[in-house]
Amino acid sequence: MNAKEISPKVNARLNRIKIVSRIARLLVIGFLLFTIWFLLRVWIFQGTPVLFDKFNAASAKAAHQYPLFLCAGILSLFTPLILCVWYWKLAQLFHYYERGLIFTVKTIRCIKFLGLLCVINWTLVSTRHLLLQETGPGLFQPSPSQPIYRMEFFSFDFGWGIDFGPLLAGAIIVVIAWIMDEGRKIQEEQELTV
Amino acid sequence: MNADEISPKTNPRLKRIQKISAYFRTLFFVSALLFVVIGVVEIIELPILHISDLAHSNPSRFRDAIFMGVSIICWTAETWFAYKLFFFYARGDLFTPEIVRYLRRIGYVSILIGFWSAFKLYFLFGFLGDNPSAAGAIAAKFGVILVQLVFSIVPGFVTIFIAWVMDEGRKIQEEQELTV
Repeated sequence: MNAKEISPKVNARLNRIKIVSRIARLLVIGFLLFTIWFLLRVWIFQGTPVLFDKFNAASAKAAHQYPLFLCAGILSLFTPLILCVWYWKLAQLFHYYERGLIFTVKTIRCIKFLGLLCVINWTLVSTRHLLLQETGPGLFQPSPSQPIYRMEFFSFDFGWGIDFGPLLAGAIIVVIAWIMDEGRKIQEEQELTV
Repeated sequence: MNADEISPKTNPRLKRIQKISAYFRTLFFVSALLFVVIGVVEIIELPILHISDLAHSNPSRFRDAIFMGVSIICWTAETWFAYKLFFFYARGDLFTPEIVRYLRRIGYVSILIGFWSAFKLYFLFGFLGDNPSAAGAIAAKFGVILVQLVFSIVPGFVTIFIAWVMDEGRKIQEEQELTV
């Protein structure tokens, strides 16, 4: 057998990865569509997002805290947007796997970006939480139908109301992607060493 | 240079991986220990403080204590598996079956945590307690729970999937090396 030829066993494994990746990609696109539909449904049919609610805006104006209220409102809009980008990048990752790209630069970059999105999401959620604390308790009444988007991967809440778990999860994803990248480079260098 | 020799560039890379992994290994070890301590305190505290809550018709505090207890068990398991994962990385094992095994275990626990968080939300919304009159309200609550469930269990499934692909990739490379 030629050194460049792919063995039948390897071919079967690659085919399996491709099939499962395709199914996973379709599922993730399904989740993405469901999330978009759900958000639109909440915003259009059940009123504007909670922080842009007229009653809440009037309360904030009365308390002379309208700029803080507006900042928190804008931040709360970004969170579902990040969720949608997260799903989109995940679908892209599965697309790379489907193409048979397992330990490539593109795949690793995609995993790293997913981790970074977790960190960005955590930053936004925490900033929003701090802004809402600044405006005082009881000013805004969140509706029970508003999505929470709290990924309970790890949870490290030290009583400040800010969970450091998602930050740690994002950092771990970035570190694992970095280790994979370094491993790939080491293997490449080993192959070139004669 | 011999084929078995490690190139001079490779060594600093491996050392860097080992150094950073060692930091994470320590962090997760300390976290796992902390969770064990908190868990033990919770177990000791539960019969003393919260059984009396149950007896004095205050079941919500008892329920919260149970919720917290199960979450702590899950987080302890997760941090322990993360510690083991970085333990192997710190040893210089990058694409070994052990790495895949622990990644997979982290995935399983995070799926469990995802289901548990959706279950908690189900209780917090008081599905069992109250009787919402409007069908739309039930649908909205159900939607929130479903979104939370999907959002919480997807990372677990992705972790398991990536672990599986890594394993397959490793096996493919091994088989390719054996093919002459």
